[in-house]
Amino acid sequence: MKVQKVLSNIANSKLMVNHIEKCSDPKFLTRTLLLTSVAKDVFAYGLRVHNTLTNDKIPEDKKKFSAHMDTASGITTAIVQIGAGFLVSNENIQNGITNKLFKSIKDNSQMFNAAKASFSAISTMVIAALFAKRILTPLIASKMVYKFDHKDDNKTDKQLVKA
Amino acid sequence: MAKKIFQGFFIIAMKITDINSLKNHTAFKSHLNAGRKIAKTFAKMDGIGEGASIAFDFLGKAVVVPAVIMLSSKEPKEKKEYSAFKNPVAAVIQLLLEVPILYFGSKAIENAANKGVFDNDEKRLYNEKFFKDKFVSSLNDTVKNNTDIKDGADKIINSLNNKGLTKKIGENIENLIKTMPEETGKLIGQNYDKYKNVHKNLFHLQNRLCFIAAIVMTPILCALENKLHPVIMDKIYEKENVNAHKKAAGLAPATQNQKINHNISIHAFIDHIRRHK
Repeated sequence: MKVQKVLSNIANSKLMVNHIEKCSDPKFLTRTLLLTSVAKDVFAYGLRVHNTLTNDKIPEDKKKFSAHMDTASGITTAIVQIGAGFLVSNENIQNGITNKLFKSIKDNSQMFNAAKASFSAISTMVIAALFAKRILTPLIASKMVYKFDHKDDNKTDKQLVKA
Repeated sequence: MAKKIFQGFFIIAMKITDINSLKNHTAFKSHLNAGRKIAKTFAKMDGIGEGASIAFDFLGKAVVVPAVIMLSSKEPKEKKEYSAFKNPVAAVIQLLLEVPILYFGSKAIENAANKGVFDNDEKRLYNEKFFKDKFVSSLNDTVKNNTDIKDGADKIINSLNNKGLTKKIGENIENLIKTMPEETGKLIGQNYDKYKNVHKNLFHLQNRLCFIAAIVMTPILCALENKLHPVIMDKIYEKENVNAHKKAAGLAPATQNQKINHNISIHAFIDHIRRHK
């Protein structure tokens, strides 16, 4: 079957085999999860902007606001998520937190490493996917859109005063 | 105020003079237990991958984003609402599409891998069944010669057949291997390591292929979202509009069972707000 052959080629490609080998490193795995999530978001935002602009059912003023919001969100989410995620998954930061948080199981190295790997993934996802993506991004993006949409207001006011 | 807080801290600090008495304190002990429980919970977590990513994404999109937009945006209320409501709708559509992709996609990949579809030049990087069978058969052979471990081995084989290789079962296998004679333990250990590695390989492959599938599905997801979103928004605004009219006329608000005039659209509602500003 054609699909099976394509999938087999992908699965056995050098890129995939090397990638899967590297996934045993918790930091690499965490960052892969982060990057796949960011890639999906950026692609989705791009499509949403396109769809919003071509959807006649949305009123013109809302269409513009929604498209601006999605563009700003797409750019901001990529920068903020990667920045926050890479910072949290940093080995020194993770070591610092887990050494204190999992002090009680430090004598059991196997359990400690397992807890550390899970914590690295979960903490990165919470900071990147919940805090950075869902709180920081809308805050920054909505401010960007507001400034962008109202950038001509001051000019118009000044022109009116002059007139 | 700051002085009082400082005094409070000073009194507490004076009372805690002996650190050993603190260690024996019940509150301190329960704190330690809580720390151990948290650590164990994290250690037991298994299979953090695309599924967890989807769950966090849903949580953020359905709950956090609308709240942040409504609280932070300076745009007029109806504009904010329109943008905020877009997210829970998108989150539900995304969940309804991504979860089946991940679930059925993962199952299909697992079946294909176990049938040997991904085997290449005697390399079986993803054929979990092959290595599981090899491990189970070596375990059964060992049991024949060493009846002391029969119960433990049988339990493990049953669990593997029912649940597959989980973290807990993995721990049980490692503990069982420790009880075996050195040479037998080494052989079983080697077979278990191969099985464990292929299990992990397959999990990562499932995640990456499902990610590719999700990317491919994104245009459909966006198209669906774009179609459903105005319809749902219209429905929400229609109901509010009918209630606003009834309230203005001194009537009770519409209940769920009452028929709503579907000809009134979001545009009519926004015009109504503009006229009554």
